[in-house]
Amino acid sequence: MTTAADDAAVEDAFEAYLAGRAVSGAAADSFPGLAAFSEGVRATATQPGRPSAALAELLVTGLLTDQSSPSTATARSAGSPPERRPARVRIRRRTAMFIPALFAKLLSAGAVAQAATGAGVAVVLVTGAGAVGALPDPVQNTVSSVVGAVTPFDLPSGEETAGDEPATDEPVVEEPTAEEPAVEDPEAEQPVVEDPTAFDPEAWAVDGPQDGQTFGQWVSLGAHNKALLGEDVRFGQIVSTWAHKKHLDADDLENEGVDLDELTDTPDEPATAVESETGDAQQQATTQSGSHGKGGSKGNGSGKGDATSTGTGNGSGKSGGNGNKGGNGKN
Amino acid sequence: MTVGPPFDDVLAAARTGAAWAFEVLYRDLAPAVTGYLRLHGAVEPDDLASETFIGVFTGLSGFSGDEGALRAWVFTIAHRRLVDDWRRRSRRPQVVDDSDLLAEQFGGDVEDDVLVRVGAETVQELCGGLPTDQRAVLLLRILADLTVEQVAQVMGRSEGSVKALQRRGVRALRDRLEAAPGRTPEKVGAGAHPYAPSRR
Repeated sequence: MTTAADDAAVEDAFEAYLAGRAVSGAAADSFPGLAAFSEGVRATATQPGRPSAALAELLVTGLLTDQSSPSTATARSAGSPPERRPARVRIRRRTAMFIPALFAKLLSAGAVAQAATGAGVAVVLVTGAGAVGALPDPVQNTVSSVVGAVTPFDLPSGEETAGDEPATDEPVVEEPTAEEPAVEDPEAEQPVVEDPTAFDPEAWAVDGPQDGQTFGQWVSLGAHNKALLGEDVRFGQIVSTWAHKKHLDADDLENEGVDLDELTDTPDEPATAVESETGDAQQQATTQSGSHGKGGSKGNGSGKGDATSTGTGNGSGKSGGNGNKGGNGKN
Repeated sequence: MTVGPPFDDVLAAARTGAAWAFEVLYRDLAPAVTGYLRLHGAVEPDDLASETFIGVFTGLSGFSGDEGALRAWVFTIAHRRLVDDWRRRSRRPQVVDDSDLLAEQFGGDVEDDVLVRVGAETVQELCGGLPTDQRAVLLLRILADLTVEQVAQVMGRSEGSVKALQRRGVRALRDRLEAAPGRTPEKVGAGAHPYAPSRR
């Protein structure tokens, strides 16, 4: 049976206990039960509960909108933890603190569904980025291998994308060579243009004019490639020799546009020795335009007209200065 | 909040939404809040505690006061969440099976675990036998370290009313402890001895 005095004594003892003071007096004998109860109450409240997903996110990220505001920096500097608790330590402690609770929370059905949804979104994003090769090489390789293992699709690997243009910031752009077939590779033109080295000086000098080749053409060819004949070769002498072999007199040579005297007197200036062909040489011009109208590496290659063509092959090759074959005359 | 950055710094940072400050506050207050809700017989104390702290963190910008005022404010929100939950469930507080929680909290020594479990069950039974208001007053004073004035603010009562509730609650507890021969003080508080000496 408790009395009012007992109640007052116990209440005082209770207040003393809560205040951390020693319990004494009349209530000391009856108070241990209450003290044990209080300790038991506190013992059941030693750990936080499992935070919900929303709270866990809040604890990890904070209120981002406020954190990004300019006033945050001031507040952070004023309210930042002491130096003995750097940010990395805080993050580690926070992670260590919440991992068990968050893990347990994720095991629940609702959280698993959320995690699955989030993971699905992440997979879509990552595989989407991997499909265009926009991921770093290690990640790209991993994504490519994983996607390749579980799907029939092939994604570019990191090595394949490493040498590409920085297309990650731009839409897919085709190679210029594929879009501009009109621009031919200069190398592709090489077979069309005759190689000047194809001239055989020995054959030119020894064999003389070939079948189908006029004397003037032969002279022009030699003059054109005089540099290949060698300095010790007397160009005019060879021409003279073959003129005699061909029984060409002065008139014939004149018709061929060959000035033998000039060739023998000024052997170092073959360009002036060859004159433009006229008259019956027009057909030669047409044929020459096919064979000699190259005019060096920049030859336009259009002078392949046959005997019936209009002979537009201009033969204006610059390297040889042999504008004598400017066969623009018509047949 | 005896360890860590000064309270004013934490509060200032928390008011700006800093996650680290939220964590400090949660680590300091969540055990007491969750225990308060659990010993009140909340069916889902963790969820209620989460709702409480979400309300606290999102409403901190409008709060001003010292640490005691913050504790009172946090428990005010927790108490309101609890009352709302009771109204929704229209249910008397009941003892919740916390065997899973206890298994997580304690372990290693079988004898100690049994004592702790008995102690926790006894505490919950004793709390469940108290009227709601008396229980609220005692728990707010023991767990939340609130003064009579602060408890009055939390419960929306006068200080005299809170004192009367406390007096009656203490008497009821003492009567129950004396009436139950097997419920010795050592057994009731068994869970506290290995871990929690008085915080004072």
